[in-house]
Amino acid sequence: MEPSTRSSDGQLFPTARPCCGFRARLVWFPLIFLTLCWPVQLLLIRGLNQCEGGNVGTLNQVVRGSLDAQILISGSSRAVYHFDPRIIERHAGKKTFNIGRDGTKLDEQLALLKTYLRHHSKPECVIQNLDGFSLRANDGVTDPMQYMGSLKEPELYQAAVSQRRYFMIYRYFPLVGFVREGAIKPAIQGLLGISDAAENRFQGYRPQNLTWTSEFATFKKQHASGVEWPVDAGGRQALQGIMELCQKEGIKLVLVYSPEYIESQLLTRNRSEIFNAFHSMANAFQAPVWDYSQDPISADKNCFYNSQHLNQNGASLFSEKVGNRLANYYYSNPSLR
Amino acid sequence: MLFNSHQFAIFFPVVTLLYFMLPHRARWGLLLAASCAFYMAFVPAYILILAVTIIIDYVAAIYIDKTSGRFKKLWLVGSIVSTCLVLVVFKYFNFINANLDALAHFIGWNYPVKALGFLLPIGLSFHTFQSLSYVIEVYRGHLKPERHFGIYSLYVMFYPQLVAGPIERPQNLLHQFREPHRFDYDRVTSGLWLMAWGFFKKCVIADRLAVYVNGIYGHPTEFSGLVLVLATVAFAYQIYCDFSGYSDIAIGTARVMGFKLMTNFNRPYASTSIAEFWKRWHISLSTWFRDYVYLPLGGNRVPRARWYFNLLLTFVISGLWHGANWTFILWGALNGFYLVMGLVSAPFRAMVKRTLGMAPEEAGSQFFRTACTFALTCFAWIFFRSNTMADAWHIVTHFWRPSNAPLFAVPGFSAYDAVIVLFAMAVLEMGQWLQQRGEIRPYLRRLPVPIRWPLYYAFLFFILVFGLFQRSQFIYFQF
Repeated sequence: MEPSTRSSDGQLFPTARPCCGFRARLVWFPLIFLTLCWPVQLLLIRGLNQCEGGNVGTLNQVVRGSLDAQILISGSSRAVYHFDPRIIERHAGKKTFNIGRDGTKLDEQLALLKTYLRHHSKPECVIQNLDGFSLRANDGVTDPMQYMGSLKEPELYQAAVSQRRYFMIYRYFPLVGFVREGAIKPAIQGLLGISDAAENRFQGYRPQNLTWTSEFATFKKQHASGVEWPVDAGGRQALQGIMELCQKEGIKLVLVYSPEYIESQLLTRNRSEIFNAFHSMANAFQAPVWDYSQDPISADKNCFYNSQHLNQNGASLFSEKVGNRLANYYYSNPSLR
Repeated sequence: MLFNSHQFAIFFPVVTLLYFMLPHRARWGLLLAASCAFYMAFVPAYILILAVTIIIDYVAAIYIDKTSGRFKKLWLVGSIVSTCLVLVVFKYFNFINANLDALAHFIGWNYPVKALGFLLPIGLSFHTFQSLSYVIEVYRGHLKPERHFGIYSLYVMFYPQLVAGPIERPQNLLHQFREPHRFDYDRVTSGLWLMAWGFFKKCVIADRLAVYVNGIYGHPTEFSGLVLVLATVAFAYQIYCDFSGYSDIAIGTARVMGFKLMTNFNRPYASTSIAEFWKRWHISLSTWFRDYVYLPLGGNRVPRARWYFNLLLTFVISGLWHGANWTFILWGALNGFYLVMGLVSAPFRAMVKRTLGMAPEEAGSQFFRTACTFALTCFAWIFFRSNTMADAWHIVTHFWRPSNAPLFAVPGFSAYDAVIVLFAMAVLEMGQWLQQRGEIRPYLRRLPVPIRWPLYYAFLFFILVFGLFQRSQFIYFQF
């Protein structure tokens, strides 16, 4: 007799004769599904690798190996928003690129620097931007989505998996990471060639066309007695790793503490401890520390949109200063000329 | 644990597999343990509150059955009061307190009582109502009390419907825990299909619309005109897809294991009147209020004025059930008002139709009524979604004003999202339309595997690729 199915209104429909028993179907259906996940994942990786904007765009440019900068700027959001490579390039006369990424900590920045060196010829100089909380040990991956297309890069994968073990699942099980970290949308946008204008970067620099916001007032209200940023072994180790890498590769390293709004500096209770640590570590590697926290820019609210980040105007002024100083630095260092 | 979390992706197959591997006598234990684990994934300590409610109602039901007359009633009242007390403390205390504080401030008195710092236990209103329906049914003599404490606990805690319903009646669910359920391929696939449909509604439509709706309703005073209208319509679809999606996943999960839960939604936005809407929206709650509030108040077998009062009161309570905020109370009252106005204006509307020669079954008339019902429902949703009465008032007074603001000026919601969500909504409407004409599955099952399976895979990949899985909560969890 022909197999049939009854609908809700009692009508009988002939059912397609099953190709195999239900046990076989229970095995085959998910098996085929899982197999199909791989080509879908490959397609999405391709899409993500085509993204140009945001952290993922910067990461893609590093992995593609087509930058070959002579001056490389590394750091977190304060690097991304503060250093305009176009201005620095004009002053120093050297090809400059900013590989800073929002929300990244020193260990992630070290991993990207290593990845950069594997895909490019080494730069002459690395500018490593520092933050008040740079020496705090990393306790997670702030923007995991950016790594979904680059998990085959050993340094990046190691940095991510050392923070979150589940990156192992992301690497070996298709689509899990993409789905969980919301990487599908940028991947499809990458495939379709759609870019978000707000994410556009210029040689890695992202200008912030903003005026002073209420963020700092809120922060001050929440932390009236100030804050204390930890100086951890993990943070020190990561900074030391950057310095060792540059020393080993013969790259000049300049540590820069870019402008921070003056009122905010007063709120950091252990500021001297943090700066002592920066200086003592830098001295051990004979790396200069350029501290712009006492520069007039740091006292000018018009240059900032919050206590930690310069706006476009502030970033231009700061980049001019760094560019000039760098040109002099090059002039006074015969090895760099 | 959220249905749209990776934990559930492991939890569900493991529990289901164990369920079918275990002998029938041990299954209730497995389900109870699984339900405890499911609930404790939110705030573990809150299981104690659930335990208190379960113990009170379990004991009360036995004594309601044992005693008669005044004592029987006393046990019922005691059970209802103590169950509701939990609800009042955790859900309504801060609301009542804030209002008393405002009143004292207005009069110029000092009001020293501080707000409680509790988090609302997930799904408290749902399992409280399920517990209440059990004791009331025992009191009414429709049901014998369940003596097996484990089975009774499972009735309250059954994980698919524990945190957001459907609010089951004991007559429908309790006996199912005693019935042996065999593995049935058709039933399992039908349950999985329903779950997939639920995930499609939740992850592809509701969560994507949420980005847009939250962007507008988070700062409504920055907008006016069409943006507010669009955000409200988007919210109407968001809440429908969110909640009916949850219900589909819950019913599907239960169906895979052989349990039949009640239907909770039946294309509510296709309703041609508000009365019909409430027969199609959150059916398990609407029928709960009908059976345990509206009918005991006298229903419609009372003088007309009292009937209207009963309707209004029932909907105000329903609004309060949804949340401890004046916006919810007003939303409930507005729905009650719609119903009353519908009854009052019925003769006038019939006269207009007669005069215009419009047949009620005419397509144009049906469309007009559906559109009006949808518009009224959307207007009420403004109060439901607004964070404060001031926000609601701004929207109500500004949605008709012209505005030059771009329609999709919300961070995180681009034209890409709009295209996906519109396409998914078209799929949803088409799916529901086909479902209404006859079940889709029998039609699909007529197709040979080489055509059918690629369709299934395409649907699953569509959910995976275009869904958002950042563990966003279901809206109704907060209730």
